[in-house]
Amino acid sequence: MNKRRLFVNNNDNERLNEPMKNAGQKMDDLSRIPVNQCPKVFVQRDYTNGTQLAFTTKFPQELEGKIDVQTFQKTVTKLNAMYEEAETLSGKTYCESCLACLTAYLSYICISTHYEQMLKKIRAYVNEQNQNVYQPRGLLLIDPVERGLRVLEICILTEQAGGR
Amino acid sequence: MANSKVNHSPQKPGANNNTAAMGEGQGSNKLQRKWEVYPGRNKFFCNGRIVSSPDIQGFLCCMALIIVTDCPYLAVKVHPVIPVVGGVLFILIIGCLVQTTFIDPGIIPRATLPEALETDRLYQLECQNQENAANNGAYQPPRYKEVMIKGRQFKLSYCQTCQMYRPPRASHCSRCNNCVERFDHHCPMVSNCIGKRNYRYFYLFVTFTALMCCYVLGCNVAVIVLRAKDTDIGEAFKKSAGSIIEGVICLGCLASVGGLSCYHSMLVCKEQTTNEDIKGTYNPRKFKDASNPYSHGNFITNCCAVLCGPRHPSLIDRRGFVDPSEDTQAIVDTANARGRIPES
Ligand SMILES: [Zn+2]
Ligand SMILES: [Zn+2]
Repeated sequence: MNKRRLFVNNNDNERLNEPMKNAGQKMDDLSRIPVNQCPKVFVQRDYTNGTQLAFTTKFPQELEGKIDVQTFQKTVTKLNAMYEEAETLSGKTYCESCLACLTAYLSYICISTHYEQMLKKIRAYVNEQNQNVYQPRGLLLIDPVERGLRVLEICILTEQAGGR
Repeated sequence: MANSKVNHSPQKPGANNNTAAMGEGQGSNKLQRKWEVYPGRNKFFCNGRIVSSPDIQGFLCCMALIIVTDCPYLAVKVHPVIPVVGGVLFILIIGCLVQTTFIDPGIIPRATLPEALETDRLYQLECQNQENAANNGAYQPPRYKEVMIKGRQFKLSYCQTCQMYRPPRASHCSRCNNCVERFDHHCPMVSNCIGKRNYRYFYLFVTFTALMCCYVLGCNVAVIVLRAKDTDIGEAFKKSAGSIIEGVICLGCLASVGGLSCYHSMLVCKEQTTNEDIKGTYNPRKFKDASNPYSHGNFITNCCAVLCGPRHPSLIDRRGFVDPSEDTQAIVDTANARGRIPES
């Protein structure tokens, strides 16, 4: 939710420097690619089961050669399962809603809901996956909450936009 | 690849970002919050904590009406329990009204520039595949995309303002200039859109208000009847002129609010929105397959899902900080950036 800024330090990596040299930038700028200049892959929402939150597990072509299909699908399936847990109708959410109603919705000020807790868990999961799986492969997952839960955005950190 | 250093720090808006902003030569000392540059027409209060629509006077009228009709009644003391019940109802009504008016109704944030460009690129590719000979090569903005939802085909239309395909059940509110999830209607009375996040509060507000009207009306009738027992009827009517006026006002309110409450109760049981009802999305005379894919099957589950389901998070990040390098880019229309799309 906070301001996001990301730099790739690619001085260590010869391969990364090449597209940047072509772009004709100065040496000082070479060390940094802001995340908003990376090419992005968008995984769309899957509406086949209604408006409940789920992303399609179809493997995007742009990621071919960067990550294997199983790893990608495992991440998306796990995310979908977590969103389902947040949205599913359970005794806990019923109790929460009734309690809130009885207190004229003042309880929402001090109690964080099941959904909010799940969103925190999802953020932690995305960060963990980024650290262990995606960033070593030069990719970066963006938490869907920051894109309005409409798309799962994957940045390809090793390339510059427009260069593909 | 393992040693490519990535500094990923979404949790810290502190020193790192400030220096970065200065390095780009846009170093204003004060960071802007996102609601300050929000493109829609909504109003924000309390540094972005509260969202409302541009016309707040409707809410004030509504509030005044409730206080005027209900407060005189609270002074009437027939039995100690009666004002207590009235007071509880009053608090619930105010709670629901405040929630309806001041929370984000489910606004869908506009697409970021890369996302809008990607949608555009995919649509142009599709057009070329279909080989629309009529306008060869001419640019066409995306129109709609078809999706299957539980076996029924739906068209997701493209929103030119928000630059995305509207999710199912969403609609663009022209008053607030935003797309809203599970859009019901824009209510000038509570001066906010009614959507996914505040529909239940709106429904409860309407229903509690109808109950309140019934309650106050019942009490007024009781007052007159009790007085008529002690004296004759003509005398009782003379003495309780205030009760009669209040009863008439309540009857008027009940006629409008009661009807609305019944209508929305029907919609809640069927898990439909006013918008869909008006458009006739589930009208078998209009569509061959008029099934409602969002219904849970029976009316009890539908009621629970609509009224007690999870409270969805607000998707517009109002309190976040604007990235000084991003905000200039976001304003650029896709039309200007379109030159960057590769042709094939
Ligand atoms: Zn829109
Ligand atoms: Zn509106």
